[in-house]
Amino acid sequence: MDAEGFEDWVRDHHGDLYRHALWLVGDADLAEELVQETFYRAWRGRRGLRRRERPLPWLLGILRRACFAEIARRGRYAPEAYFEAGVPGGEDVAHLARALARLDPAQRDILLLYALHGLSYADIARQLDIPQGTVMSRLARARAALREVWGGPWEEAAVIPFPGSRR
Amino acid sequence: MNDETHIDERLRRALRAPEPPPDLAARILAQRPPRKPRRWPALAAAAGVLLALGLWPSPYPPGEAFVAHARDEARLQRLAGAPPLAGVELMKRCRVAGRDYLHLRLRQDGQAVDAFVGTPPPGLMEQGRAGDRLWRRLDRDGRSLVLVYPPGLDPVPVAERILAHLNPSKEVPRT
Repeated sequence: MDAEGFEDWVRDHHGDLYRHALWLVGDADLAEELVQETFYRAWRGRRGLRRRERPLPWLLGILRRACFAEIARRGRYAPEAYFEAGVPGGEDVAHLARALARLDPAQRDILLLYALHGLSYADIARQLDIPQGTVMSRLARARAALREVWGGPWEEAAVIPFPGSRR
Repeated sequence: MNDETHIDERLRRALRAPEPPPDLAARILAQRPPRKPRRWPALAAAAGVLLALGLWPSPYPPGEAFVAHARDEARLQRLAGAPPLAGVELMKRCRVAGRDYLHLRLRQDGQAVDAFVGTPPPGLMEQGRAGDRLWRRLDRDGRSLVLVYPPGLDPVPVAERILAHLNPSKEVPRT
């Protein structure tokens, strides 16, 4: 990995990694630190990466480990202040933040891997080190949990087509 | 577009709404060290000559001198400064001690108020960080300079200043 290649990684992926960290830990400053930490570790460990043309899963692995360590340390998730302070997307985004705040971190995580990054079941399975069938069942449970808390005026948005769900 | 696709797209759009800070990519890229010239082949050849001639200037064979020195200095050394400490001086001490890690806590004016050299014990990084931000920088030799700084202070110039003062004649501009 040369310097130019690493710059491409940063340019291509720092936005989505930031969003993943932000939705997972609910704190913009902390999300920024975690993304910096991720690329710092990636730079130091870049020689260990086998598939350099596709670094996102590797970067996500580093980021998610760091996020869960912070979540375990802090033990709280309070995104309201950030998401209700005029984030583009308006009330829809703020409402989603309130809904995600009521899911557990693992459920937020698997939703993000699927809906934010668009990873396949196989990629998610590798990311979480679980079988694909377990991915599907966990996604279904996360979807059900999101539907349960995403009510009120956004009732229609509760019907999210995650696999394994029954309508 | 059916309902499922519409709602799926709506969730995706909401998740993608938050934008990263505009300078985040620049700060990430500034974490990397400047390029380091590859000197090890010449150094290895010189060490080989010294060993062959029996002129090696240490009781330890090559490589072990550093390890032995680092082991002697293994305990965490806390350099808690009552007066503000200059980061440059601390990083020099870090290098002299053969450590790979320097943690500095900065005041608003960019001066260090305390520092830790060596591998931090668990939990050290989180101490006294209420409201503070954290940023890392690698130096050219792979050592980590970790800055804990108050909001409003840009850590990049501080790190650049510290590292540039260490050995200005050997710094290689980043391309």
